[in-house]
Amino acid sequence: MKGTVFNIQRFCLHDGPGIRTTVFLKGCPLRCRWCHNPAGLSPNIQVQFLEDKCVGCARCASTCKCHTLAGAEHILNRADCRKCFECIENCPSGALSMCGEVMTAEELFSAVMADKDFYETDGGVTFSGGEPLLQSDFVREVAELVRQAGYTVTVDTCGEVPWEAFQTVLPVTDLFLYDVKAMEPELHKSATGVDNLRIQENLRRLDGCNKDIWIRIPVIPTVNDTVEEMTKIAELLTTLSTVKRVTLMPYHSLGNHQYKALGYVYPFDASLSVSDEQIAAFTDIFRQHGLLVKQ
Amino acid sequence: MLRFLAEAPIFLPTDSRIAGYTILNTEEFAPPKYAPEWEISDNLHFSMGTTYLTYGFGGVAERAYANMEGKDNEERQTLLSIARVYEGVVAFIKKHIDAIDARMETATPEERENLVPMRSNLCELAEGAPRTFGAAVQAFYLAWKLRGTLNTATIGRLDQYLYPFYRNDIDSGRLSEDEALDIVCDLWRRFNASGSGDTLMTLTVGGQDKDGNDEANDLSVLMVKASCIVHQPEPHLHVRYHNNTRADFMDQVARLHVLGGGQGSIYNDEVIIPSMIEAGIPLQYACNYATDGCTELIIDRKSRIRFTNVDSVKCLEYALFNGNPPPLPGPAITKYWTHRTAAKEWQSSLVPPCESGDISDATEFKEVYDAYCRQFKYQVIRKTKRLIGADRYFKERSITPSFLNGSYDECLESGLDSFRGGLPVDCLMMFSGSLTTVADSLAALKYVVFDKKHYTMKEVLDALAANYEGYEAMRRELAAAPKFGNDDDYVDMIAADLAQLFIDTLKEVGDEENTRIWPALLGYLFVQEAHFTGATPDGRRWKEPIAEHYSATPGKAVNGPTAIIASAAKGPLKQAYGTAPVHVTLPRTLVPRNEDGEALMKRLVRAAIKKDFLMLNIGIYDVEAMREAQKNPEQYADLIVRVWGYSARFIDLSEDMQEHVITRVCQQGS
Repeated sequence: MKGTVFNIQRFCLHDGPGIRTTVFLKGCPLRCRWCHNPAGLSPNIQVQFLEDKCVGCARCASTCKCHTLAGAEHILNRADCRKCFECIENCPSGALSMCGEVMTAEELFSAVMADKDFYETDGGVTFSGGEPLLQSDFVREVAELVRQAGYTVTVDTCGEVPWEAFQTVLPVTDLFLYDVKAMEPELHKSATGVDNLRIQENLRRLDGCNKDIWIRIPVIPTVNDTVEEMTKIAELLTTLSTVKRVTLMPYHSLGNHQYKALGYVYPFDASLSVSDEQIAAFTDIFRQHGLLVKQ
Repeated sequence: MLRFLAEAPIFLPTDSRIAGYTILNTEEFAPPKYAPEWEISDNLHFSMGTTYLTYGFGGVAERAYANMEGKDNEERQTLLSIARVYEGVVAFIKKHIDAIDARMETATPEERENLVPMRSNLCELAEGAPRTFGAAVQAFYLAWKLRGTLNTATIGRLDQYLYPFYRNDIDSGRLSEDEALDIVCDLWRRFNASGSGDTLMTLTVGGQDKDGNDEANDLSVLMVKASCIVHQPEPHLHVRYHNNTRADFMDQVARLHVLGGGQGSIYNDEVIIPSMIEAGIPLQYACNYATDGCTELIIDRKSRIRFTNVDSVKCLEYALFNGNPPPLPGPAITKYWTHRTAAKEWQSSLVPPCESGDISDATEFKEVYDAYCRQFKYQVIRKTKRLIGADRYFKERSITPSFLNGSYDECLESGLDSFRGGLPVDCLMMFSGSLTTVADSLAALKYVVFDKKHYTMKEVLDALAANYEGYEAMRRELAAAPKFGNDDDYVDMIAADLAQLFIDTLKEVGDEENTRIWPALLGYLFVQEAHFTGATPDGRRWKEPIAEHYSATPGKAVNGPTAIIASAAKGPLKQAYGTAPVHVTLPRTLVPRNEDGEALMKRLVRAAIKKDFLMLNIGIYDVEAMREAQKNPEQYADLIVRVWGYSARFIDLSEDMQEHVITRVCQQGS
């Protein structure tokens, strides 16, 4: 079985307990306007171009007409790209690179075992993305190997997948990180491109499965950064039984350069920000509802 | 020494219970002019003995007199000198008591609170051996000061020396744990008052005895706690870890780690002791190792140390240009480690290069690699032979200060000079750090010139000679090649092979000369070497940082700390019992100052131990804070960072060293 992975990040401390390796899988059903990891949006392998690494050597242009150099400026015509990736092979400085790699379950397992000496009994592997459950069969196969090796498995999901995808990974998952973005279906739809009906339904069903859930809430200016919205989320969470903690993740624009590298236009207003005071006030709301909040 | 004791100032601090001078004002008091004797053979880089704790200062004199009987003339002379000097110390102590008595009449009640116990401690020492913890601490401080006279020196396994006194006082109810902690904090503050930075003030805590029993004791825990409370650069606390180390001790060490100043370096008994035994050092001594004045290992109270280093990156320059490197773009001017010293021009301590082969037309990587090995091995052999020769010359001619000789049980019994048969273990050490930057450079050549064939060797050599001016595209391509610290075998195995070559060569030379040479994968002049070595094939321009020790080149490890540890673990760390330090520097954003941060520190230590690390140093720095400190130094006097074997105030560092420290903060990880 093969899957498409775009990043394997070691020493992750916030994606579940202990020291973990987080695997980012390609493809996402949502289009959150603030998404900080746009490399996960498309399920396909893409050519990534980092402008600041380009040395202007024109090796790419000499082998492929999609690349032109106008003076020092490198222009990539993505529409004509046949995905031969020869340009990447020829790029000397790492400015052109592959976003995404097809791996077998065994290859991915071997890659994440590089840090096995750090996992101890509570650490392990987190599957994230994109939306990892779009590749649930692949996740299950790798997760089984991870569990057999004695380490824990975490799945970081947006929830917008058929319930069957959850069922596939349930037996091999120790913890779910579950994103909750907004309570109002309309608001959810305008912010992420889909309403939240299936997301909420899956969350309720998952709550009955006797698995730990950590809720992650991106706090996005002009979208959900209000007391009303946060209170509604808190109220929902109090009706659930296996939610162990809540993490508020303030909006940041650090993923900004990734958009450019992939030929996208940044769809959000990077000048907006969330203040520490807002986060403190929202934290209080969740605490008042008896929920454990951890950053 | 006797004249020194007669004339040295009597100093009674008002804010401490420990009597004795801190720093001598050399304008008022200039002992060096009549003190050539004790500067001769003591480099202050190893721990002194503790006979004065066993017998008292007067007791040492008595034993020296008694042991003279039946000895040859030279030994009799040595013992007689010891006896006189230790009698002088007793007189020196009595002068302090007289000074207290004189002060007492006018002292305020607060001052009396310090003077009364101070007097009582000194009286114990004037009469005989220390009995109480307070008196033992006082005895140590005086002995440590008198050994260094004008300078500071190695501290050694202080938790072991003082523990019997501590235990006795606690068990008899004379002392509470809190009072003991106050005394230790007091001593720590006195250490800091003597200076901070490259002071040689290293203290080793914890460890195990020859039967594998844990030697970390209640006082070891208390000492780490004192370091957390005092939170200053001194003393440089080094921790011995083994599988039976008590948990509360490691908990306290984790608290020290989380503070972030690079204190509490971990030394792994589980590999160091077997490695020393393998090298022929008997178990009873191997299990008694400690750090010297820096990060190297010695046998506590049983060995001295003498060392020199091989500039491995400069060797690369010699090898690339067949022993005839192009001139540097400018003079190699930088400061030592602190901005307080004047900048000067530095040069390599390598011997003149050999012709290791013309590789400008090389068509295979092996030709380049072999040329480096030839040059490096040539330098290692020559420099090691020089070290051995210098040591023999030195031994024939030097006399050890009597005060130092008398502190060692062996010398006090035999009358032999501690450098000439008096101490049971010899410690001659060779350093070579920065081999990781050499590996980065060789890997870049392998990748770009021989695998990708984008440039020829000749073109790269031209670019190096031009310090990459006009060759920016090539420089960036070389810089993008695999780098050590990212868990990539392509380059990590080159570093491992070079380190093995170093260790094997030392063994060869040692066998030939019938001398044990301790291998150490470290260097302390890495900022200087970056200045006296031109551009290198890893894409580094002249003066840009090179790696320290067996760590990643600053800024080149981009896959987080676990990858750094994995890269280093591929090297022959186990065999480098002189020490093989690996720095892991984490950004503050990843390590909160709380239990979560402490738990993380413990995880990293456990993993490094599992991977057979010999030594691990963890620093946690806030890059923004360091940048701010450069702008407003006076507001950041408490920002402490690890330098090489020691920690120092960031604001005391030279500008070049500040940049080096900032660049090495680990990238990646979330």
